[in-house]
Amino acid sequence: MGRWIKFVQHRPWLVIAVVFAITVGLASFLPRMEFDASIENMMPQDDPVLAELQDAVADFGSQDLFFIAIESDDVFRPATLQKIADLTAALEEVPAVKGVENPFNVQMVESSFFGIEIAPMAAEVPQTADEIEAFKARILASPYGGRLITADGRGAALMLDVEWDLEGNNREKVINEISSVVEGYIGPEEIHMVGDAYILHYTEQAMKRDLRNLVPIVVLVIATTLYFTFRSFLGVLVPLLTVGAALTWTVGLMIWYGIPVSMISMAMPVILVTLGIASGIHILNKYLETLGQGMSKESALQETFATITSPVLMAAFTTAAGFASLITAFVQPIKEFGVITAVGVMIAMTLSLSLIPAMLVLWKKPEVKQEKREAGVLNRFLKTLTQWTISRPAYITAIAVVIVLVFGFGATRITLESNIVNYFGANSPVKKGTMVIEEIFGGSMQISVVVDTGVEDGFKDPAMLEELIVIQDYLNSWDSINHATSLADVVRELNQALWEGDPEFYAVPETREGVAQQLLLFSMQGGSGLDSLVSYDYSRALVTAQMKTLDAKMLGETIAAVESYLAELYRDRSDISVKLVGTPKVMMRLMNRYVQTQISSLASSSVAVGLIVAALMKSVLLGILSLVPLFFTVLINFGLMGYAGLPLDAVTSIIAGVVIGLGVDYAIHYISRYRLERANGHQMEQALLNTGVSAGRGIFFNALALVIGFMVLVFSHFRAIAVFGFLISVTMVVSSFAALVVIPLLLQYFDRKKVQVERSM
Amino acid sequence: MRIRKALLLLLSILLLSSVSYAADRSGQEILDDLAFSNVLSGSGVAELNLITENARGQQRKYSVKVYLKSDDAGDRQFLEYLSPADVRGTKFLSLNLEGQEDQMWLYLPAIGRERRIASHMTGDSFMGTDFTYEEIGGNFARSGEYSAERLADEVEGGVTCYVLDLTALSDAALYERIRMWVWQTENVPVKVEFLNSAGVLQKTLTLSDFREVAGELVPHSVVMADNVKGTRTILEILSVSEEEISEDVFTVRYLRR
Repeated sequence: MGRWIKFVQHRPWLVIAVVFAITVGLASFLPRMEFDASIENMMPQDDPVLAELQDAVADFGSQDLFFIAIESDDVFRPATLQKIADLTAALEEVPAVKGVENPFNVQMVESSFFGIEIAPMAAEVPQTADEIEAFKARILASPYGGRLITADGRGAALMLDVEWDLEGNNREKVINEISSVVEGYIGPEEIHMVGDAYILHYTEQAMKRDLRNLVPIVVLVIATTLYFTFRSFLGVLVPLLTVGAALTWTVGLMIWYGIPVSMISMAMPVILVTLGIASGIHILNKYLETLGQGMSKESALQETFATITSPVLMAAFTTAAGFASLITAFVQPIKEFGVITAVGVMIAMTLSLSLIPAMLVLWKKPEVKQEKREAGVLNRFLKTLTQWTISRPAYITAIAVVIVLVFGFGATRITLESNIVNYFGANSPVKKGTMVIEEIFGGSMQISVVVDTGVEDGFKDPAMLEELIVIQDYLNSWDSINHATSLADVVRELNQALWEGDPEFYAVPETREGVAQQLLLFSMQGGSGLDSLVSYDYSRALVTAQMKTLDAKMLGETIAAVESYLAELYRDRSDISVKLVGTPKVMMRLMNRYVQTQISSLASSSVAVGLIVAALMKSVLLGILSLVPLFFTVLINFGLMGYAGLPLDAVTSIIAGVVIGLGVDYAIHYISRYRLERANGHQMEQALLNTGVSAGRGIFFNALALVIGFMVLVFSHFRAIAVFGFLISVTMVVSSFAALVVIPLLLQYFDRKKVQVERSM
Repeated sequence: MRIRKALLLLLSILLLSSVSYAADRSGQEILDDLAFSNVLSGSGVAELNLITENARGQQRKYSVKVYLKSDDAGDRQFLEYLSPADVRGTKFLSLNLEGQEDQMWLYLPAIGRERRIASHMTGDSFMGTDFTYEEIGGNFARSGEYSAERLADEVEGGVTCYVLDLTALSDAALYERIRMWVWQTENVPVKVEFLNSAGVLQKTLTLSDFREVAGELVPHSVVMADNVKGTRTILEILSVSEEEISEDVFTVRYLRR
């Protein structure tokens, strides 16, 4: 390292030029940044649940819903009815909108004086009181009552059929066109857009806004912190430039590799800036301290980097290992985030050891104000804390056990969450709209059962249609699932119409020919919608329903119960197989995997970090010992989440693995200092007291810097990110405090047991 | 009675009469002289396969027999499904007689009773195919609705063709633009492309397998591709004949025969 610093001292401009060139090169990728918040892309692309959904989309078309809901105290008012029709007409003008189904134009199969007809619910918008009453009676008696308009008049819905292009490239344009149409019709009625595409669009917009807001805020906050720490231009600029370059490299590389910004990696810039600054502060502090001892610039630099390199390297490796442990996660964006951030941490470390010395070489020797490092409150606090810890190990142990029990119990109450809508606050339009739809119309997402007979024309068999009825009636028996419909409904409606509307004939025909001929009639008559209910060869059919998804617990339980019921129902049948598909199932799959992500990332980061510490300190015991305060911290984190009702989701599930990598620095710092004190000949108690105060100061300020940086995430539009920022800040406080209490306790215990820590050095 | 009109025009595609070939004609002349636009009067029978194909290339195949009669008394059509077996015997009767209300009747053998069907249709699709009623009849370019410009000749479907670029003259026209390849010696279209106002290709109609029937050239394969949806409808003509059909065929009683 000494030779490297000498090289930088000789050729500072070369180092700066190389860093500058790479920065400019990678910055050229920034305009190509892409955002992706799609829930499907959170799954591994070969996952069976995703494959089943994609199969269903190929056979039956999009499984996503796109609603526009009109909310009012009485939608049956003439003006509101007219507005529904006008809004429909305006929406149909949007080029990508293939069709809009509303309470008037929805198709009805009927028997009339003229014979069988497939006709719209209402040819004209009803206007007089009599017309409205007739329309109301007609639609509420139909399958569309409650689905497109509610009996209590609180809501009416338009179902949009939108032509999204393959990659969803037109999403932004189409949604903007649709929302500008919708805006013109708001008031006095409220109008909500709901649907997977809108949620995705809203999420991506929020991500862009978030990045635009959070990065400047973190820079401002960090710059302020730097100014109050160093009170000099140099102290602000050198770390900021370094971390800015590191961020540019990382994001540039990410875009180069075609990784879009996800809801999780959105937090990366703030995390990286915060972490990068911490090591910059560390280096500058040491440099100023060395200069303060009267050394020349050259020897001060040599001295600084001689002592600082190894802790900076160690911190970088353990931190990167913590992030890299996320590669064991199930959720794709979490894996990507882990790898990107690990790379970013290594880049920041590299730049701290090259760009910072190069800039310091060129910068004129800063004036060093002799700081009065008087004892102060902090020192007194640290001293008291250490004294108390080593003199009352039993108390500390008892308190620790109580904390473990209390927070351990809390951890069992953790809930899961994977509905993106719930990542937003209650006042966001997506959350509000979804709540309205779920409350008024009984569900905001489509859940479907794919029923496969395995043979061509299988669903012309009346017995198979009866199975569809069994399934849809079962689905409708759930509170959280509504409006289940299938091919059997089309056939039954047609049959009834063929028998002059006699309700007794609302039934599946008795013969295969009867079914086939009615289906032929339906398609000949211009009836549409069959393609979304049955495959082209009639071998597979879909029972589709609307599902409530905001309550994650209910979602998970419902899906699990429905799946096991269906599996049991058709266990012994070889002529029929059933599969549940849809976004709600994808959400459940993700939720169930967050727990796995926790365990695997926690285990792998513990092993990796433990090994790194063990190797660097040449002691397995110390490797394990350094992890103890972290397990404690992780437990408190989970307990807090359980008690506060903060769910485990895509964002919060990364905390545990990351905390291990971040928090171990405090333990390393403490143990290194303790061994130094012991090597300097101090007795155990004195060494612990000295360490508690000197290492304690460093640990305190390091944790403070990280907390200040991470707390910026609280300003995110995403509740999940804000919660993450809060929790990770809490873990920094807890892990630093735990290091100051738990580590001396353990060192004391093992030292007394004559496990010769000092000999292992 | 759109189904009546459609069937009438369908048969008119099948029974084309050729027009003599002139060397140097303008686009408008070619369009006006299309053998295609002539509406048949009289009566005939055709048997055909009607194949619909979805975007994934899966097909549903039906074969039907169509009887048609058109004279001063009005138009009547009778359509019977021959296969697949589960719809065999399904029949449609459509009557549009002078001085009478239009009627459409359906007979489903599985029910064993005829039912009257409301005459107004929802949707433009002809019997659930990719053809609209206008397109199946070939009157998608009614004279006066389009101005025709003649482009350089091209070889299409193995024959030398005039290429016409038709631009809609009024909003009433179905398509903003149509491109048509007309077989020079026979004066029949072999390919027609339908474009929307943005110039995007919506549908492509391909006519091939021309065979002489009673001295006239009849395409035995007619394919309409919906380029937007990715679906296709294929009509395969199995037999065509011009003959006198008995009035008995066009009765409700005959449905139950």
